[in-house]
Amino acid sequence: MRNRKDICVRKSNKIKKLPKLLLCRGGNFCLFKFATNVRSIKPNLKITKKAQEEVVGFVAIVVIVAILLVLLLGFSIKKPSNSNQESKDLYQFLESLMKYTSQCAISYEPDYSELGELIKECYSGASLCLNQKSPCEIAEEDIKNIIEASFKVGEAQGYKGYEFKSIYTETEDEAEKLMKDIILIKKGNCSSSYIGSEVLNPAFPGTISSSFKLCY
Amino acid sequence: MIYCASFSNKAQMKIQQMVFVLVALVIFFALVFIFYIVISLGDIKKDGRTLRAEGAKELLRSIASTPEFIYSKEDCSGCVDKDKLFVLKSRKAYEGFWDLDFLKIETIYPPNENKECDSSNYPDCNSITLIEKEEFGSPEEVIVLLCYWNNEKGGYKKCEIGKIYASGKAIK
Repeated sequence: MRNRKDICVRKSNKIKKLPKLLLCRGGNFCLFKFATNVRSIKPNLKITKKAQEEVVGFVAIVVIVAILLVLLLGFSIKKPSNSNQESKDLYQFLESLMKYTSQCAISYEPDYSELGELIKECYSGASLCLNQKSPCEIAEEDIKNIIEASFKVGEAQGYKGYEFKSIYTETEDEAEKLMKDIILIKKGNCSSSYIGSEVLNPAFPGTISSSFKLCY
Repeated sequence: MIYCASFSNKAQMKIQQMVFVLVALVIFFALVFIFYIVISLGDIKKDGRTLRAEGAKELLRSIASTPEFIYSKEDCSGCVDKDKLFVLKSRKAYEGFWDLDFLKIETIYPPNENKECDSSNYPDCNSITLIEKEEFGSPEEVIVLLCYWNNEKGGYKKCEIGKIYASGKAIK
């Protein structure tokens, strides 16, 4: 028989019982056992499965480790990316921007308005600056220039684009909300990840929210 | 009497094959895991750098809020008094007051000619350098509002957008 080797033992007094044996070469009995050491044939000839059990244990460990790794990878891939973040830097930038002294004086010179006040004037649309320019025009120009002086924005630069937005919001009752865009300044590609911040300025009976996003 | 035990190698071969496959599988997953760990460590290093930069910026903001810097004539949080800084520049008592290698305040808008402030050109100047040692590395920066009293047209408070740059052991 192929793949088999016959090992013969001499029957001694110790071997009292034998399992069902097959008759093989020269009328000798053959034992089917996956072992090379014939001394392991115990008197009662029980065939041990220790090695098989160890292999099964090994397989179980490998399978568990594999499942854990797959789960770990799955979780790490699914982990929500913090690509859109609030930035303290940008909050401070917005606060500074709102207090910047513009070149627009509404009532008398040198009572120049801060940019935050200018955005309010732009929303109300009631007055012009003493130099006959519109508050919206001056506010937009200053905001754009300040952003471009403060951050490097462009395809080859650190940031791909930016978006500045001022919105007036008024809550009439709990359900209804009146919203009106005051200023919107955009540049570059702002569709993916960004850092941003928002400041609120009271404008009775509503609020003006100015937000700024830097996209990368 | 002689008894014979007939042994099969086929099953052993199969077990060996399975063991090889399992070892290969373990090696594969170990490589994947190492790859993942390397990427994660890269992220941790990046996070560390970001945190250090954030810490440095926070320290700069706190410097901007000290009585020597802050604009205190009216309520203006985060405003830096350009007049105070200009006076500080010439005060020898403040040498070594900040444990820094470099400390500079620069106006970024409205754009001015790139001139260091001195008594002949103030306030029509661009920067005030308080500390500048020979080797100061790459400074951290934060955006601030620089306010000062402008004497034109009867005098008024003027606020411009500026940056504070600083470097030194205390910042890193």
